[in-house]
Amino acid sequence: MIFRWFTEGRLRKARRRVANRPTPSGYVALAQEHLRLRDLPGAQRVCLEGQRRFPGNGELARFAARVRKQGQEDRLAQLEAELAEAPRPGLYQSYAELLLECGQIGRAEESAEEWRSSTREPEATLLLARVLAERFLSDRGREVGQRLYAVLAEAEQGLPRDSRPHKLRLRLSCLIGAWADAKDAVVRLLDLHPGEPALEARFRSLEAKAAGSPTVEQALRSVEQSGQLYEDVAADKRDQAAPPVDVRGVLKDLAGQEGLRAALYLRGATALIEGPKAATAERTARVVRSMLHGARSSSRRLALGSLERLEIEGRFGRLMVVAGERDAAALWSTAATTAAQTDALVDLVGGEHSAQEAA
Amino acid sequence: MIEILEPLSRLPGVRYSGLVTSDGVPIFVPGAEAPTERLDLELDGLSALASQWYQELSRQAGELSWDQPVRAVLCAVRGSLVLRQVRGGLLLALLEAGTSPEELRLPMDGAAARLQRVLRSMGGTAPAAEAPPPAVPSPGAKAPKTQGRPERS
Repeated sequence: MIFRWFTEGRLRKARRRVANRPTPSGYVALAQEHLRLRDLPGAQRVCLEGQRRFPGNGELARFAARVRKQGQEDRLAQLEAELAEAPRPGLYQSYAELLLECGQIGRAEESAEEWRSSTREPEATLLLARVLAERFLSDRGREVGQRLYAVLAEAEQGLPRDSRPHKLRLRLSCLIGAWADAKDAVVRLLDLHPGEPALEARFRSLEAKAAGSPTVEQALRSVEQSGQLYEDVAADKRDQAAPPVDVRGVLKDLAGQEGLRAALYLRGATALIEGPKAATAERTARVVRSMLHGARSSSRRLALGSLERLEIEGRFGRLMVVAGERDAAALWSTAATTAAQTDALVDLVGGEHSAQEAA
Repeated sequence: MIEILEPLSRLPGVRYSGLVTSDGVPIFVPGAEAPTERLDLELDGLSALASQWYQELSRQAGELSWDQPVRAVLCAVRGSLVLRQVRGGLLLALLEAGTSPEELRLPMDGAAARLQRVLRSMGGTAPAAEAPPPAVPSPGAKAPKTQGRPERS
């Protein structure tokens, strides 16, 4: 009771502070007070309002993500309790979908597998295929891809009049560039929805690409080697035409700090670098890019999923690379990297993405 | 070796800890939550991939005239790999997702120091490339050419 009275007083103060002088930190403090009172929807509302007022702010985006995660964990705990009491298909489905949303692919796979082995329902097989698809898109490993296609074939057999497995196959085969397999999926979809104009147009475009296209096995091997999906390759080509414009300022700020030797941003074939000059800059960017490529590949081969961060240390100092889906930012320093510098790198590679997600 | 690696494996969030010697022999200690199926296969692959990655990193660092990295960390969605160079091998730890590699820094540094002491006491000499240069010319070695006046004895 006394705790609540104190916390509500602090909540009122935080509200007044935001009303008098709205700042990102003020919004974060207000959302924290809501969380302290276990008012999750209130915290979410404050984060949303703050993000509308200060779009792209890293501090707010990180806190909003934390609030969202808290909400998901509460819901997960509730579903786990319900599943332990009386498991039913709808619960399994919601549970696995929520786990996927939280990025807990391993647990989602376990849950889908458990449902599938206990009931042998085709819906469970389809759910497992969806989970494996997420895992494949995250890891890009050939073994996961092979298992995914095997489970997908099983789902197609179990749900012959359902278009969802064929749509999943179409999406995956297009992502890995197995055009002949994608065309077969469209043929099966046209059997279910004859004469649909969008499907017919898709069939015509895929028919042109299918001749001489790699098989699923070849396409999976190529994705594992390069780590890139067909969509990524196309996006990288688009990105090269329009390099990011606001990154340079952040890199300059970072490179000007004490103990920092170089700050880099890499995306597609573009490399922005502050610190080293001329040939040294070029060499540094090339080496960091090749280190990043090697680390991404090793991460996939070690079945650790997609790379988030690479750090190396030695007499030369410390190199830290924060890797995004398609870009990366790096710092070479002779002193220990601070949390603020790490946050700046994280915001550089994923700030826009996480802000959108939180909104 | 095992008694040096075991405390590392017992740390929360450590899936495996191990040492890969410079001639490629892996010595592993599984953590409390490590899967027991296909353990050998997994560990063989892990040691080979980790060594290969470290060698690649060292080669790339050399292109920038950097020394071999002493510590390398790979953080990914489903776990992290921490490598620590020791004389005559590579100490490694595979961590669960959510475990911070920084938590392993001190224990791994301690384990590396103990391993080096053990290797020294066993009379194991470090590979030539990693051994420090001798302080004095060995007997029979050609005397370096000196310029200027010779020192008085």
